[in-house]
Amino acid sequence: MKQLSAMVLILLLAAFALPLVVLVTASLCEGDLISFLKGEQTGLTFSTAQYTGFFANKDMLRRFANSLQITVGTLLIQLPMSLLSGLYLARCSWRSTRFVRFLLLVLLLLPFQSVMVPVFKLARWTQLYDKHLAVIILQAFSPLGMLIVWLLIGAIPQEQWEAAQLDCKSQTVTFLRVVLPQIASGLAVLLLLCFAEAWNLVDSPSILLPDTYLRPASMTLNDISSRDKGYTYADAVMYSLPIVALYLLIGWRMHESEHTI
Amino acid sequence: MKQRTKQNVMLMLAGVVPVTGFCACWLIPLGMTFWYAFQRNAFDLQFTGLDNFAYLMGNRYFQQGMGNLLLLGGGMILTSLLVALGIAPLLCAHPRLTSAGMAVLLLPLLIPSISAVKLWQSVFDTSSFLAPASSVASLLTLFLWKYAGVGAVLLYTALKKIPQNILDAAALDGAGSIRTYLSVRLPIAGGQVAMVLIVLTMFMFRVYKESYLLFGLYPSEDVYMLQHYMNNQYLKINLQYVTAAAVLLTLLALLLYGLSWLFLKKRRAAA
Repeated sequence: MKQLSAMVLILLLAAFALPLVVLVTASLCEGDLISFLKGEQTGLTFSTAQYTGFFANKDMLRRFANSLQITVGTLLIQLPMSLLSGLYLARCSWRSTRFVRFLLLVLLLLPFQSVMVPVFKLARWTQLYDKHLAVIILQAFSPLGMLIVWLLIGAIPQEQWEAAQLDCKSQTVTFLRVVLPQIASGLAVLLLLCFAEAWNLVDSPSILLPDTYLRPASMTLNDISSRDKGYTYADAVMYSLPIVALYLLIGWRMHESEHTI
Repeated sequence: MKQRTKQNVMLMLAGVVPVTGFCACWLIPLGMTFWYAFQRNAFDLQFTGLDNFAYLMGNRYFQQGMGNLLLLGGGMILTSLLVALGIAPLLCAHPRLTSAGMAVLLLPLLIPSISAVKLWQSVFDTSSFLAPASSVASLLTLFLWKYAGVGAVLLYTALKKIPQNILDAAALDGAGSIRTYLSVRLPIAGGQVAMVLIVLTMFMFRVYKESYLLFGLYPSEDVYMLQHYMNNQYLKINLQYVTAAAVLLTLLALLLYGLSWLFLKKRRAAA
């Protein structure tokens, strides 16, 4: 029974890993691996030309740069804002804080379409329409980061706070020396999630960036990589690479720190 | 007391910029959505009562979008929940596979939708309007692949917290592993099941992203969702219908979350 359930688990996990394995393999083939597997195409050759093609595609690089600009810009604002708001939400004992927490939770759960029209109008009114900054600001103040930091800081016991405040001279010192080290691994996960969300934007750029030249690769990869299927897969792999690398790096660092402790 | 008030003021000051930003970017727009929904259009603001809602109720495409959202969304949530319920106990039973398993299950969530869509477009015939079954299958499997793993990991963490002595007592009573899972572990972890339901519902409302990338603005009728209708009305500058539909979408979302939340509260009270 135990062996059977292990087999079932391995098969299920393999099913989850399969699309990624196929995608990477297909990106290394000249021609379409999927058509080959379906029996619609014969002859398939190994090639890395798709990857050199990726770097030669100026349109693609431009969209990648857009994605990078939006993601880095978002993270630069979102992370400090999340820290500040998380501190306020977790530590302020006024009743209004509970209401703010409730609003953040509700807005986190709603789809972007709920605010689509006013966001468009506000962007035009503030003259941020068709600028990366509009997408960056909208994403940077999304409730996800604020709620995660609230949960992280809220998990620190009250007694520890009080002891730290007796030892440290100010709130800032307490925050930097006591709170930050304790939530460091949680912040790494926050960085990963915020990066993934900003790297994967589709809804807000489709409304705020009508100029396709300014749009991130997360929504334009379909339009600009349409030559050979192998090239398409290579573009898809390249676009996944930063987030997978960050995931592995953070996972590895957390594993290392667990062993050190 | 004074010290406490001073501390609260300091914390409030720390939260001013982020909370103001949140209000300006998300909360005020949500309020504006509700206001625009009752205007003739979003440019010359004339109050029209429920006219926009009445129009939507009689519109064939709105009905189809809403119907598909409920049907397809319900199917996606249910299938993902079942997969998560199936994988979580297996992860608990095989600790040596747990860390690799969690890595594999969480990775699809992080992979950009556009990268996954490239593969799905080749495997399924998403370009054809003549293959509705293929369209539904592609969206359903993509949702399952991206989000069921997160549900499984969340459930696994809840199952791991159940004290061993409870499971030992069930085993002493002669309950097998399946019986223990269904009658002991799942009821105890009921709150987390509700939490998974909330998370999957949130992802379901955001699945338009994958749908848009897979099929574009005009998918086959079987996967035409409310968000497609809203985006198409937006492109036609019928902003009053977009906001009225957004209000209904928001109310639907709040209703679903409210029900899940009530279930969660009930389970926590029982625990």
